[in-house]
Amino acid sequence: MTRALWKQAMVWLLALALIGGGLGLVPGQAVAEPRYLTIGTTEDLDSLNPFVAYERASFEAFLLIYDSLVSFDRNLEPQASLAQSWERSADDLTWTFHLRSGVKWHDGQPFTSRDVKFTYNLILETGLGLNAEFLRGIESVEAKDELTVVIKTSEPKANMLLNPTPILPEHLWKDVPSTELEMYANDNPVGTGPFKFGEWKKSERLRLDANQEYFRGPPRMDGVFFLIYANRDTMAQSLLVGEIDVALNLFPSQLKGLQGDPGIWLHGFEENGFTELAFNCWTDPSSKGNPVLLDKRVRQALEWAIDKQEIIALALEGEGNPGTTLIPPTDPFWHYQPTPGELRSYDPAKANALLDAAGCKDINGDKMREDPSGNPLKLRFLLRSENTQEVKAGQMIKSYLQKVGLDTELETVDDGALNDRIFQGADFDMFIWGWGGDVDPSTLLNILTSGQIGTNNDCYYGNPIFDALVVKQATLIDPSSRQDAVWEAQRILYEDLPYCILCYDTSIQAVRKDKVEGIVPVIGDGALFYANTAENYLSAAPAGSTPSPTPTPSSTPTALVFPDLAGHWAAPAVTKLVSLGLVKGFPDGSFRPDAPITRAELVTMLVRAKTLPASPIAAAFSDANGHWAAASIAAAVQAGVVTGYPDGTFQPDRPVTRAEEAAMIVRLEGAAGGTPEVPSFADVPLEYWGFGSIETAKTMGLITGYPDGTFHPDQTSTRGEACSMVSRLPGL
Amino acid sequence: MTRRYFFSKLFQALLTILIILVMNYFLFRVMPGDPVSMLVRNPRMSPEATQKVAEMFGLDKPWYQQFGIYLINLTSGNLGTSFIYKKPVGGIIMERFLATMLLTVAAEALAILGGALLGIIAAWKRGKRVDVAALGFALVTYAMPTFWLGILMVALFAVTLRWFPTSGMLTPTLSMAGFWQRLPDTLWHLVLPGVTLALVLLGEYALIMRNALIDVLTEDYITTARAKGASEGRVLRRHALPNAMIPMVTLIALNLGFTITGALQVETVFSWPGLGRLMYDALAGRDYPLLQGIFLITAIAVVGANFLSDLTYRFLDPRVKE
Repeated sequence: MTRALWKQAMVWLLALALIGGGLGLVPGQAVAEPRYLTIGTTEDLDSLNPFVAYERASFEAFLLIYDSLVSFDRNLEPQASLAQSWERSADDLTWTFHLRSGVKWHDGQPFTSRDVKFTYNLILETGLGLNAEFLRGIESVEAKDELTVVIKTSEPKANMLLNPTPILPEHLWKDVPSTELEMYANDNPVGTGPFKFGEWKKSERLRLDANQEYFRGPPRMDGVFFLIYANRDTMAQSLLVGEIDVALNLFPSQLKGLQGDPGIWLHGFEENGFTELAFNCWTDPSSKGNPVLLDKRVRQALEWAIDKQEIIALALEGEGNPGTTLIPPTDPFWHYQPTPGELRSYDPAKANALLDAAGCKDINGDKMREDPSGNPLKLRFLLRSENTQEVKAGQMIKSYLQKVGLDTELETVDDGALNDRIFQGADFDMFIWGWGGDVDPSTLLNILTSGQIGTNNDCYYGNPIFDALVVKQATLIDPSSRQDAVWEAQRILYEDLPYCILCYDTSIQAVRKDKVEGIVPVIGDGALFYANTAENYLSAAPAGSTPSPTPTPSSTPTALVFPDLAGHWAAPAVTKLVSLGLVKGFPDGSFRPDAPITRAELVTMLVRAKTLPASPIAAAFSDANGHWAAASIAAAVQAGVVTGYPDGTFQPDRPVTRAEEAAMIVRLEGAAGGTPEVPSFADVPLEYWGFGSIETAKTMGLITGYPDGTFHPDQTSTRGEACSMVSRLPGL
Repeated sequence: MTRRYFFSKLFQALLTILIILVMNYFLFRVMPGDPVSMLVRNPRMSPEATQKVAEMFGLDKPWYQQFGIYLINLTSGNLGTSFIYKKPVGGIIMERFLATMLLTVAAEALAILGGALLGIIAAWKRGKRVDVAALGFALVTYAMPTFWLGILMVALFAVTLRWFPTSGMLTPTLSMAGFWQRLPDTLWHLVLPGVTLALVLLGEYALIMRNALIDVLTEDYITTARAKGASEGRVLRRHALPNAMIPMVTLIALNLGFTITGALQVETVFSWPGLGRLMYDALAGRDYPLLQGIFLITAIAVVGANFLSDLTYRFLDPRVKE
């Protein structure tokens, strides 16, 4: 027993000495300790130099330290930043940006149009860095006067306002020779942004301090700490203990440990990215891929043969929603939803039929198909050892393909080896990998253009019609024409199927809501951080702090005003919900308050209103897969707010009746149905199915009914009515 | 004689390091994948930009030119520029080296002291209940998965009891404070990873110490010492221990080199910013210059520790001559 005692004593002694040392520091700081937003993350920066940085973490830092001409608001719509306003010439080739006056760099120097001109020209001349792609098509940048920048383009540039390129200070960068630009450390970046650079300790932390002179008003906290964790489990524990306010990139398996803490808000959301099953589509004779896959019927057959829903549930631990087309539905405006006729979901019979049609039949009776010339068929399927979930998904896919008589050979390789196999002679048949996108749909579309074969186009897909559409869509300034082109491009890809999109990725971010407040998901139920916008860093505040005027959403006065809402009775409710980020209008600028509300729309609004936790498992509805609201539907079903139909469908686009709406809202609130003696509404008798819910909603003050004492429970609810009801929810 | 021994050992050590240096260079380059492809899997990357990256790292040059540049740089102490961080490798490693040293030296010291003591007690009380318990403890900690032990320590001491912080090396708000404020905070952060690493290492030391001492205790000269009437304490201290220390020194020397990078798992659980994690990141990103730098430092540490242990043998065991 002695050594145990001895050891214990030693640990205790050490612990006491050190705790004593630690505690000794506390009293001195108790008074006005600066309050930083402390974010735990697994991602580290690679460089502070925007010309050579590639990691997401670096770009998140640039977003906070620097400003761009135009930034993104919470709905990822362009909003004024360094540029206060802008106009476009009639031929769409000249853009004039009017800059904000009085903006200062963090070192006190004034910001002028010369800085913009300098930055853009430097990027255009050197072609260096990931921002170069955003400036593609710009012919010249002129500083007309101190506060006016004129940009000329060769073709109309549809993504001119979707350009987050940080503006750098000329007075600090002009002395860096362009040949040394690549090695310039930029150890102390000076920007105009809401945060000043504090300190970056690799693999430890990044500290940014609030810029008290920020032109939109200072952030509400004293700064931001990004603490870099090497292990997600430890990060989850840190959140539990309260060492950090926010945890990013959590795994679904970690939810269980955090769910019990009422102070933690777990926010699951769909990311702008996907995981795909890529097929070798190279028609070149030097390709080492199996020629069978050059027949798109075979590729389509593979998609029919795979149960994405089950793969997500079992292999990906619920992390993801079944995928369809290239642009994820995080941005429903650009995402193309295949029509029911186009949609391919799990159906082995269809797979068998297509394989038969393509000439891949079982000739020798071994239950496995041979290729059209009768040779044994075995597809080489590469999986990334870095990602065990993808490896599991690959194993499941192998067994699905076995069921339709296709033999595959799994090979698990590391990223380096996979790169070599892909780019040195296309020595593969299929593999699983993923991509993440930008606000601008061009980024993802570009991957599969023929010009990118050998670099990003890792499946060697080439289709001149698709190429032309990708070029064209980038020049279509009118959003709805651009949308048509983007949708058509995705339709072609879905038909040709170089990538079978297995799932749209989801992720989880958690916030200690008992410590910080003022954090709102982007586009309603999207990410909180790493969301292409700095809004949440600006609005986050210590919990319980008096609601100080949040930084004004700068000068985009039209942001909340819908022309068709003027004078409408529901306008105040809609405005309130829009400002909370619960609803948004249509891309054409209308809100259509009298249009019927669909189940998907209402569910989305409710999920956002109560920030319901994301369901780790996508709800299994045959018609909600890949629907833009799939994530919200899953969350609402999990929370018991809504259920599907007995036939396994959800019918997301069906309108909602007023009674159904009341029932959902009451279930959301978890309120018990009241049973008054006399019904409140003449047309809602005691025996009506929704009597309890409607009475409860009335008691809670959510509904009032019509002046004549009726409720019209079976009438379709309008968007305006739904907004009005949701806006009365307690706590909003 | 002594001087000749010293210089021949030194020459051997330097030669080993030189060979490792050259092997390092080619070892990483035969790995599949190259840094450009690892870096540029980014949808915003155009083919022209990819070419720029290759030029920037000199990867467009033939291998013998790259090797030549590497050797020339090395003679002036320049370990090259990290592909990932675009900064001199030497500086990046130095930043991490101190963190790693703090962790491993503290853990090693604890493990050596604790392990030796446990081994001595076990050997001395061989066959008694104390021995069984000590042996059991040593075997359990020796076999315990580091990662699992670390998570367990966090769950118990950081979450349930809340005595220590879960991870990191410093409370972030103190990053602006002075050295004397940061020191106790860093030591406070050191406790959990230090004890975890020490526990993992301790078992091995205890087992070796116990075995070595048991061997020695059965030697004739121990019986002689007892026959001469030496007290049990004197037999242990003067006659048994010095001879039993020799395998310990070998083990310590081997481990010192290893722990510089081998603390990877502990560093990962506790997010300790050490060399092990740096090496892992460098490997994942095919950051050749950084990998070479870390391997060089590790090689120097292993070879250096062995060199020192060779010298120590002579001191401990006069029989070692050449």
